[in-house]
Amino acid sequence: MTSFRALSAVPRPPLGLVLISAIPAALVLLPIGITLADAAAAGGRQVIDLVWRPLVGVLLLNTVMLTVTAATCCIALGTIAAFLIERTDLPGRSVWAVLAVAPLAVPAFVASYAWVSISPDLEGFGGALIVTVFAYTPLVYLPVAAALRGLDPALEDSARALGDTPWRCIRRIILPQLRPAILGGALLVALNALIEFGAFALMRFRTFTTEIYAAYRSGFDGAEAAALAIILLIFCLACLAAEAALRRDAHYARIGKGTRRQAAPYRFGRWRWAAIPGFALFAFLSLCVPILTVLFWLTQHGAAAITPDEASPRALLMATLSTVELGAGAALLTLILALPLAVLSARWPRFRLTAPLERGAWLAQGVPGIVIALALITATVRAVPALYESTLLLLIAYAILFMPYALVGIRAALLQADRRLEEAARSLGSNWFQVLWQVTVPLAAPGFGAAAALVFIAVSTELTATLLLAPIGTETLAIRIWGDTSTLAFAAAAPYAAVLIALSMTASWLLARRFGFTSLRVDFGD
Amino acid sequence: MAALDIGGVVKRFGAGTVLDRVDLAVRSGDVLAILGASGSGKTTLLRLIAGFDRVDAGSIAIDGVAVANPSLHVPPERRRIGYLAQEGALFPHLSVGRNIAFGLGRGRHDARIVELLAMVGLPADFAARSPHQLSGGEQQRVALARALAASPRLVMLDEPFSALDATLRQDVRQTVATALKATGATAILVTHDQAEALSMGDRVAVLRDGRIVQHTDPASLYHRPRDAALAQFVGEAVLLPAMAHGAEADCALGTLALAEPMQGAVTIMIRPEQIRPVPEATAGSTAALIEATHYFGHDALIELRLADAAAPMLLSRVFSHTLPHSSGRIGLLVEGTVAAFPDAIAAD
Ligand SMILES: Nc1ncnc2c1ncn2[C@@H]1O[C@H](COP(=O)(O)OP(=O)(O)O)[C@@H](O)[C@H]1O
Ligand SMILES: [Mg+2]
Repeated sequence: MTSFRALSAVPRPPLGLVLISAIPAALVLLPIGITLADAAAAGGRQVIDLVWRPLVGVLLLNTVMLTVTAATCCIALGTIAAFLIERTDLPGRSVWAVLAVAPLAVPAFVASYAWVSISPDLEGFGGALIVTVFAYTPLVYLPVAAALRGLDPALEDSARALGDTPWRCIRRIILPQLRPAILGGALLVALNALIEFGAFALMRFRTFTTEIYAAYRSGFDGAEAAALAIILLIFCLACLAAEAALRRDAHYARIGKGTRRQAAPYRFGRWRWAAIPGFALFAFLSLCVPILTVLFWLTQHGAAAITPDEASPRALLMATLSTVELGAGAALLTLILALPLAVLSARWPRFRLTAPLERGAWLAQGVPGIVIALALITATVRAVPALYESTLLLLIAYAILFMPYALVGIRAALLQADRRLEEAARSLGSNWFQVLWQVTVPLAAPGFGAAAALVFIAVSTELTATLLLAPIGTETLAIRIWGDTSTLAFAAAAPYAAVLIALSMTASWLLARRFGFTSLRVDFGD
Repeated sequence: MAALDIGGVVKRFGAGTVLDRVDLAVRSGDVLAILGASGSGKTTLLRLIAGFDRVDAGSIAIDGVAVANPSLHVPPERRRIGYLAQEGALFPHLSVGRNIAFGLGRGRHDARIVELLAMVGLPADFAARSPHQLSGGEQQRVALARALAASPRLVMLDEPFSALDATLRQDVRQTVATALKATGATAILVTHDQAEALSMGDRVAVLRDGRIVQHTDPASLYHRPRDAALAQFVGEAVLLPAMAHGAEADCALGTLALAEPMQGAVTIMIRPEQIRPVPEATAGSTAALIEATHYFGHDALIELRLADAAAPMLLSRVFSHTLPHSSGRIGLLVEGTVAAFPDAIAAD
C-alpha cells in the first residue's frame, strides 16, 4: 500500500482499497443471493405453492399483529419516558434515564426464558408482546430523548409568545418535531421483532423466523425455508428502507446555530411524583423480572426443576470462555473487514462507489440471522464442505450480521481524526508515520474500541446464527440457555443466563460510561 | 400612559444577580433600543417582559396592567407580545405561511399572510416554502412577519440582525424599521451594536452590570453620555483633562463650549468627527503632529499628537477624500459643544 499521506491526499481512492472495500457489501449480499437462488432452484410453481398456504397466512397475521402492537406500545412508553425524563421536573431523572436504556443489555431470548419460566401461561402472543416491548422500548426512547435534547427552546418560546399554552406547545411544536425520531424508533422495533428468533421460539409464538427454523430442522426443506425467508426479507428490507427514507426527509434539524438556552422544564408540582410508580413498574418488568427470575432459579437445585439437569462449574467456565473467544474473534474479524470501507467512506465520501458499497454493507441490518445462517449452511454444504460447521464460518456470519456496527463506529472514529489535524501535524514537521501514531491513532482509538465493544456485546448475546452454525462441541452461554430452556431445565439454564446478563451489562456499562448511552444503539444516520 | 412600565426588576440566576433593579418606561409607538455588551442581561430582560422567566423582584406592566411581579406571573401566551428571537426560530415542520399564521387561530389566513409577506418584502409565493429553503435574511423577515401577524401591542426583537452578514444586515434592518413604523407597534430592540441602537431606536437605553445607566434619545446619548466609560462604549471618544468655568472649559485644544455649564476640574469628551484638521497656523487652531492614519473607505481616522507631549493622543475622523496627504504638522479646530464629566473630588 502507498504511504498514509498519499492515501489521504489523492482525489481518487486507490483501486486496491476500493476492491477490499467491496468485501463487506459482497458478504452481506451473499446470503440474500443464496436464498433467492434456493427459491429459484425449486421453481416458481413450487415457491408459489409454498407461499400460498394457510400457514403463511397465520404467520403473516402473527407477525403483523405483534410488530404493530409492539411498535405502538414502544412508541407510547418510549416517548412518554423520554419526555418525562428530558423535559419535566420528575424526581430522579438521571436514575430513570439509566433504567430506561438498561433493557438493551438484557438479550430478548434471556428475558423470554425468564418470563416462560415464571408461567407457561405466558406462552404465545401475550408473552411475545411483553418480551418485545420491554426489550425494545429503548429503541424509541433513545432517539426521542436525543431529539428532545436537540430541540431549539426558542421554538417553544416563540409559540408561547404567539399564544400557545404549554400543553398546546407539546401538540403543535414538540410532537411534530419528534415525529421522525418516533417513527424511526418504531421501525427499528418492528425490524427487531421481525428478525427475533430465540425469544419467540421459547415463547412458542410462531413467526417467520421460528417456522424457517422448524423447516430447517425437519429435514431441511431448502425450498420451504427459502420461500419463507424471502417473505421475511421483504418485510425487513421494507422497514429498513422506510427508516432510511425517514432519515433522508427529516431535516427538522435546528435551522440556526445561535446561542442555546436550557429549555424550561414542564413543572408538575406535587403531581411530579405521580409518574414514579409508572417508571418503577417499567423498570421492574423490564429488568427486575429477568434478573430476579434468574437469581431465583440459581437457588433451585437442578433436580428440583422439571427436567433434572445440572450445570457444572466446569461447563459454565467453558461456555463463558467460548462466548468471550467468539465475541473477541468476531469483533476482530468484523473490524478488519470493515476498516477499508470505513476509510473509503471517511476519506472519499464523494467517490461514486462509496455510497453504494456502504449501503450494501448497511443492508445487513435488514437480513435476519436465521436467513444468513441457513444461506451459509447451504452454500458451504454444496461448495466448501470443509468450511461447514467451522468456527471461521460462524465468525463470518457474525461479521455479516454486525458489519454495520463496526462500520459506523470506525467511520466516526476516522472522522474524529480530522484530516486537517493530520495536515496541521505535517506542517509542523511530522512525517506520515509520526502523524499516524501521534495524531490519527490516538484520536481514532477510542472509536475503534467502542466499535469492537459493540460487536462483542452483540455477538455474545447472539443466539440464532450461533445455534445453527456453531461447530459440534462448541457450547456458548447462549446455546446452553437455549438448550436447557427448550427442555424446561430452567434451573440448569440459570447460571448461564446469569453470566450472560452480567457480561452484557458490564460491557454495556463500560461502553455507556465512556461514550454515553446513545452509543448502545448504533445510529446509522449519515 | 406608557406602553411598558418596568419598575425595580431584579433577576438572579443562582448566586449571580443578572438584572439589578431595572427601571424602564417605553412610550406607546416608540422603538426603544436596549444597548448592552454581550452578557449584560439584555436577553434576560426581554424574557422577563415576554413572560418566559419570572421576576425575583419588581414589577412589569403592559398598557398599565401588571403582568409580572413576585406574586403574579401572566403566562406568555396571554401577554400578546410579539417576540423575534436572535435566530428567528421558525418552526421547521411548518411552511412559511403556516409559520406566519401560527398565532392567528383556526381558519385560513391567506390574505393576511400575503399582506404580511409583502410588508417584510417577500413575494407571496414564499408562503408555500419550508423554512430551511430560506436564506438567513429571509428567515428573519418571515419571523418578523410571524411576530407581527396578530398585531401585538408590544414587539420584542432580540439581536435580530446579529446572525446576518453585514450586507444583508442593513437590508433587513431597513425592512424591520419600515414594518414597525407601518404597524405602529411599540417595539424593544436589543443589540450590542451601538450603530444599530442609535440608528433604529427612537430612544436608547444602555444596560450595564444589570442596571440601566442611561435612557435617552440617540443624539443625547451620543453627545452627552452620563460618564466617560459610557462615552467610549457608545462610540470613539477623545477624553481630555480640562478646567471648566461655566459654559466653557480650557483644555489642550483651547477653550471649548460645554454642552452643559460646569465648574472645576473635569474630563471632557470630544467625538473624533468634531476635531477638524485645518492647515497649520490657521487662526484659533491648535498645532498637532500626524502620527498615523487609518483608512476605512468612506471615512478615515487620524491619530494625532499635540505639541504638548504630556497631552494624550487624539483622534480625528474625516471623510476619506479630505484625509491630509502629508504626515507633517497640521492645525486642529473643535466644532460643536463637548460633554464634560466632573472629576471625582475624593476617592470613595
Ligand atoms: N438560565 C440561566 N441560568 C444561569 N445563568 C443565566 C441564565 N440565563 C442567563 N444567564 C446569565 O445571565 C447573564 C446575562 O445573560 P443574557 O441575558 O443572555 O445576556 P445578553 O443577552 O445581554 O448577552 C450571563 O452571564 C448569563 O450567563
Ligand atoms: Mg442575548
